Amino acid sequence: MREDPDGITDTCAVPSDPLPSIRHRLRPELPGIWLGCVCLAATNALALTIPWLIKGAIDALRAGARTAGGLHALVVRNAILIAAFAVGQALIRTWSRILIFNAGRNVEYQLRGDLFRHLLRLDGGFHRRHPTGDVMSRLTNDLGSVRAMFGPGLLNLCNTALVYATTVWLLVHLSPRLTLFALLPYPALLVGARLFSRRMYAASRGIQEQLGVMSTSIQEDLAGIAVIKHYTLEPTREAKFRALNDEYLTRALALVRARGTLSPLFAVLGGAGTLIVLWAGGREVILGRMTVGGLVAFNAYLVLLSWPTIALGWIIGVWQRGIAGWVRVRELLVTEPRIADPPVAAGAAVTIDSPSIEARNLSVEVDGRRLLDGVSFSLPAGATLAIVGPTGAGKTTLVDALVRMHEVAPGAVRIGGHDLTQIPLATLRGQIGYAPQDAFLFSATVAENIGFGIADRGDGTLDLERVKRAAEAAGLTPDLAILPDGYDTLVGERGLTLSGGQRQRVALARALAAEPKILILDDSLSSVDAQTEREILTRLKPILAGRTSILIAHRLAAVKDADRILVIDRGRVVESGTHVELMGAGGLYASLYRTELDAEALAAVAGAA
Amino acid sequence: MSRVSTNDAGSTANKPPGRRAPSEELLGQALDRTLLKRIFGFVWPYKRELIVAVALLPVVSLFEIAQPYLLKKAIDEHIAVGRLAGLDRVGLAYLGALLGQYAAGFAQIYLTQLIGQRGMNTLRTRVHEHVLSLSASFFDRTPVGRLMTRMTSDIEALNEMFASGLVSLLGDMIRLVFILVAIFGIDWKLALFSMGTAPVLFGIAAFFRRWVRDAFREIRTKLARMNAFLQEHLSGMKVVQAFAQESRVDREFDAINLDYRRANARAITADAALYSIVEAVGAIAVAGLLWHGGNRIAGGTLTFGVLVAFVEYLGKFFAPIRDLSTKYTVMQQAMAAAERVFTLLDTTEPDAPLVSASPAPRAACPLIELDHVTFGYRADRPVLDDVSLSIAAGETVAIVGATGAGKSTIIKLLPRLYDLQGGAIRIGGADVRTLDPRALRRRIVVVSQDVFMFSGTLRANIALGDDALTDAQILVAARRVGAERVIATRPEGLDARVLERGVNFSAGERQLVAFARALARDPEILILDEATASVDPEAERAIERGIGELMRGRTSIVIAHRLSTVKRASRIVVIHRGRVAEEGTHEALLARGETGIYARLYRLQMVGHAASASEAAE
Repeated sequence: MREDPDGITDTCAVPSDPLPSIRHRLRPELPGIWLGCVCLAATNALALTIPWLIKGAIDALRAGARTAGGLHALVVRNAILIAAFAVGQALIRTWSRILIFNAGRNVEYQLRGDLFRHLLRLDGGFHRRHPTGDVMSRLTNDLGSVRAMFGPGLLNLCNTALVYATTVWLLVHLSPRLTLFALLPYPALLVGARLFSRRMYAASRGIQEQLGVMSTSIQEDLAGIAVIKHYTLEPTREAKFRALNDEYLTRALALVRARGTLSPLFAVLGGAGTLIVLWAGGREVILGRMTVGGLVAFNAYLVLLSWPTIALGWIIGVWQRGIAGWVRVRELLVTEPRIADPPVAAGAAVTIDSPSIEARNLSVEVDGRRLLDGVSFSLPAGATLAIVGPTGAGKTTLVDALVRMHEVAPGAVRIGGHDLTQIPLATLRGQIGYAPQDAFLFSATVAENIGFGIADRGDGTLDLERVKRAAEAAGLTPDLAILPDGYDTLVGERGLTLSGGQRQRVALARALAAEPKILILDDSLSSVDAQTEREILTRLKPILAGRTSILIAHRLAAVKDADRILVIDRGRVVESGTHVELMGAGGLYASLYRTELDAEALAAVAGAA
Repeated sequence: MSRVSTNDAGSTANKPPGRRAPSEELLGQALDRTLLKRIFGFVWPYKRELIVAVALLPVVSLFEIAQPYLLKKAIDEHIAVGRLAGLDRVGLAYLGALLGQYAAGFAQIYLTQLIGQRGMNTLRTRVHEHVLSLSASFFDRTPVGRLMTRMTSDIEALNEMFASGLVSLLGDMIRLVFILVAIFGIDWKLALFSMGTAPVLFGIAAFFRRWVRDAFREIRTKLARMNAFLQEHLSGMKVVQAFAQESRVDREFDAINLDYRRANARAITADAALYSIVEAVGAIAVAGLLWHGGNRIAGGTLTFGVLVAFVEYLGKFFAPIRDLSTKYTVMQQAMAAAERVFTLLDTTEPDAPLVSASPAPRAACPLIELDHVTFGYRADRPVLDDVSLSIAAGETVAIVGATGAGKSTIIKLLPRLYDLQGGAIRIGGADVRTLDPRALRRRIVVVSQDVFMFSGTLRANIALGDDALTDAQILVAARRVGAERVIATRPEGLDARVLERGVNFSAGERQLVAFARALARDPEILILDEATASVDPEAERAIERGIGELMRGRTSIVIAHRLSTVKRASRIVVIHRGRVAEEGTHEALLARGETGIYARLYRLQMVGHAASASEAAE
């Protein structure tokens, strides 16, 4: 399709090469598309009859100048026929457009659903590697291009093919000599259309890219506004933005030039046909080789032909973009999740009764970097494990691996005695309440956010009692009293902005509401002050007691009662044991603990003052 | 029929989907006079180009309108009467009209877009500068996402108005007037007859305009909702997966996706119907013309040429009327976007405006003076309450206090990110409100816990806007604070790439870069918010050394989390619930014994240390 312009005019079938797997999505739409094409054929047939009727009327009028009588009837008949055909053509064309455009929209709808469903299956590694903006642009812009290819693109392709096939035949029928003349500019037109559509494609891609660069820069300015103000970086950042903005202007004007050359050029080439008719056709009529009516009809057909020709350039662009878009969409669709359910037979029987956790020589690699290196520990059901260590040591990686957000080698982790990779994901994650480090909340009410994991009961209703219990345990009750609508307060990007500590506690409540057998809290209380943290931990004690829990904590004081403490540094377990054992060992833990005590001392000084 | 008849690609349903629709649906008038005036202000600098572009509009139309007239001339004076002589001249004139239309058309489109793009370029820069000049409290309130939309897609939407809106609307009107003049000039009776369908056409267009507009408004609302949902769930994918909620989220998305699909179906129907009806009306008009004209030709009161010219003119007349609804929608979107952009430009919340000129500096006053300072982010909730503090040049003051006690607020007040509700802050005896904020901020460097790094090079992140700094100076600064390790571990050295937000640097490294950055600035006053995050002991020692180097010979205020820092301070200020509870040196505060809060609690914590140690020893 990209290289062969003739393929476009000759067929309205989907080219086989770049689009193998889109076919099954297109198949249900085929009846609609075919019917639409039939409608198009019918509407074109009617449209083509009209100049013929005009020709008949004019020639009758010419003849009538000599022999009056019966003339009036013919003209009236043709006029009525033209009106009737026009109305019929309008009705049928409406249907052809509705049928084909809707087919395109259906493909878009289905593909977007497919794509999103697929994204839900793709593993954490994929989502880390692909920025949200990039995936979004595939879900919107690229799918839009695919849709344009199957809607208007297909319609115009079929239309052009039909119009060409019929009109050229009629033209030849009217005057073969004149047809030869009239079609002279068309090869040039085709070459021009291809040349310019390629230039326009390159130019518009350049613009899209520059827009992306500008957006990133603006995003950075807004995120780093404090540094910009402190360091009076306004002039620097403004200069940077101005440079990007000017580059955008340059690229935009390149597109303007291409477009500015192209669109009047096509309008003029359309007119050039008329010129040839006037010049060459005039001679034909004067020399008696053609009637005036024939000439008028010829001109009308030529005009009919001019639009599909103009559209050809547009169609080429639409198909190019459509295929480029489909390639980008397919890239996502063919990406297989690296983390998937075990074969049905193996996973079906798995139930986690006694949630013990055991890791044996667990290693995790992300993008070629080894983030965890041979971590081993064993945690009996009901016990509490604390993971501590410097920033970037691999604490979050470890708990992410336990919920299979990272690839894990078979046999490296066993939960309740089952190999982690043999447990169906839904079974595994259904047993785990996880409060991730960045307390991401959705634009929904506080209650909906807390009940995020328990809403799926078929009817989508929330167990409010459970939500309230979880909120209470997470120490949210006083905050909820202040929020404007309590549990019904809308939070998230489009709602009220909660403080970091509040967000963390909502995320904590979300994990608790699931009433899981295994609870994982990744630094869930780092943004609340030490006093509140102590209170929440006290309240959590009975909840933790019945469950297997893993706590990652910033403040070591919060985890020193854990059954077992794992000290991780640079992906390895450097120490493990109880608080007392580790303090005695005088290693990293003891050193971190002392540093923290200093800070605690200073804070406590003021806190109690 | 005219070339209108198969024009499938030009209508609205074919347009690729627009960029992300704005989240708010502020759809006002398509032509708001005040807004137009302001938009016009941005293209006024290019008034010469604008005048030429507008002046070209009638020229383009004239060349276009001349063509059917020449056709009429050719038919009536040559073809129909069989006179070959002079047909060449008419043909040449036709060719001239074509070329003229092309040249003028290109110039007009190019100039219009040039003006539009330049105007948007100016507007974008203006909005960017304006946003950077807004006060910190504005950014506290306004979500980043909303500002992003204003600065990108809204301005893009405005640009659409130039690309396919205002000027082409004017061009259409000129063309319509010219066609009317031409046909009435050629044969007013036939013109009157053929215009008979025009009111019907206008009526239909008006009726459909509302339908199409409503359909498109619905599409935009649904699209905005769908994009918001996608964006959010892609960002929160980890949560969705961790809670195994994929199937529920998929169902929710399907409902939203289907909603959008249905909105599109409505628009397709409306658009296809409008398109086809206009076309049918056009064909009926031609049929009527033929019938009426035919009768007159038979009666000898009309020539073929006139009839042919009229058919051509009618075709040219219908196209703009049909496209009116599309253009109207574009204009409306652009106006709504313009309104939002200008609302942002009208936000007058300047960052640190000068209250009065700086008075002559008083002699022998403390360098930094907080004089009964009262402040809250919200007026009814004071964070600092009547805080007084004075710091002499060269002094190091450590501020300690619990989270939320107001420590970080003091940091933000000194460089005047916020203005006070009561009291005054003086630097070198001058009220900060009387100092040029940029000059003031150049004297103060703030190193915060959460170090922000810009994407670019390591060099740019240390020099941070100071182009005068040489590599040698940057390296010296880095070495003094112990950040040379950060540079040395990267093969590209100072050219090492920094990714967005510095994700490819560890927290400890980011701290050291921030120290180097501060030292390279060589400020008079240093404000340091020590990081609480635990890093490995090696980095910890490097940071401790860096802090020491940074504070040497400078007036420093440190929000302290490290005992070493506190011990180094010449004075410790204990902030509690927005007030100064105690102040003095570490030794002096300790010497207060049991009567001093600091001393009492410090000792208690030390006992804690000892207890842990003895526990461990057991």
